[in-house]
Amino acid sequence: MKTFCCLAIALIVSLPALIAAGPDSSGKEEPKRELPLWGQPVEGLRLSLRSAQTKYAVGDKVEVQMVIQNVDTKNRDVVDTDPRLIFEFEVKGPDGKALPLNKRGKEIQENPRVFEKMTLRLLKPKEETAFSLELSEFYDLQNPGEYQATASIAVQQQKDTKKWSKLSSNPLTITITEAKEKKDK
Amino acid sequence: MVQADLEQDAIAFYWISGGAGRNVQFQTKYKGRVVKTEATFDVQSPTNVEMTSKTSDDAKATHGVMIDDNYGFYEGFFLHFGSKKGDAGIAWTGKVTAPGASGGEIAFVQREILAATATQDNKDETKYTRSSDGDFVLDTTFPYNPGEQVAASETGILQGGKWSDSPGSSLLPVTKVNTNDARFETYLMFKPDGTDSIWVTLRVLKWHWQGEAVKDAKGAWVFGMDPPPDASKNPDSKASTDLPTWTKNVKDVKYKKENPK
Repeated sequence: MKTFCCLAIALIVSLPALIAAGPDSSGKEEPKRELPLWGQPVEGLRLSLRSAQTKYAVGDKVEVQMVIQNVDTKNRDVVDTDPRLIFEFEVKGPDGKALPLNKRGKEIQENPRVFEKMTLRLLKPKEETAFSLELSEFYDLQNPGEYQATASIAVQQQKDTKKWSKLSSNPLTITITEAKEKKDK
Repeated sequence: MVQADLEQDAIAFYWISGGAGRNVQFQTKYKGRVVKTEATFDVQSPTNVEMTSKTSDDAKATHGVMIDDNYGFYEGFFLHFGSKKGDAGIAWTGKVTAPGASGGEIAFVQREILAATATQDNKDETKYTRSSDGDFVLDTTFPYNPGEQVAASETGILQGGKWSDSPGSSLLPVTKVNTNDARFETYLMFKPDGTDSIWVTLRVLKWHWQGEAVKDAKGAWVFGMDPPPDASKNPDSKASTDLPTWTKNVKDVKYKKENPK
């Protein structure tokens, strides 16, 4: 049974995750590589950016989850506070250009960050912890099309605690549709 | 009760404290006749309730408050109370024995009154304030962290890193003065098993931290005196049945530009 489980996991990991995209010029369905679920590990941690749904209508609240996993062999502490103060985002709009923070986003991220609740979450090896926030509070996602977002967080280096590294997530694609279109779940 | 209560099919009352032989009387008037009834309840409540705190004793702190780049939770310089390196600003310990009639969940809940300012290092000395205007606001999440389950007659303990707080304010290169003044109330609460039960208060602990960081002529951050650095030192808790209330979440307290208008 144990062998079977390992095999199953290996298959899942090694399978090229393919999803159908639109037809190419020859009319054939062009396979599109699915975006990775995790960013590159840094300082024994890795970060995933996810969303419960991939399509939102214009004006919807776009909620995303940031999941941090301990991929180290020892316990790690992760900061527990208002996630809007510790995560930063890069969002590219349908035209491929980086979106600026909106007024609220600037207010939150460009003013002094006051950490009211500041504590730690202990992560054992392989354990993960999730934070949620509303991406649309930071960026105006008002034009229909595909947006690509990545999240990042500063993590303290283990060898030199005065230094910090940037832990980045996988890219996440979010599709914004016209307001009258029906969303999928 | 208000008129709206009287228009409901049922009105729920909750015991928020314990005691034997508690008498409840009910009286109403229906079609001119007075209807009266009463019942006596033995209300069990948690026992052996304790709540203590330990505040930062970092020798480098000034009355508990620090200005440096050793906050440890986030990069950069901070005006802060406590740091990540095993020295939280305040850490709470709670101990509760659940009543024999019901187990439940125990947790801490925190509310605060805050006032912070940030004056920018520009010609206009643009000043922003972030204040709850003297009202209590919820500190981020309810409860403060997911609680611990305690079986009936068993004792549960809350302690460790997740039951602590090390508040701080980042000192940005674009600012020249930062102030912080926050008054907290941390509640030890119990929620009996059952879908129709509520969180009740067992003990409450008050604490605060404050300070002003000023950029000096050489660009280094030093303490100012408005307000002077100060923080609570191992504050005691007291028994309470007061349920905490708040006007909003601290996450929704926004910066306001004070000057120039």
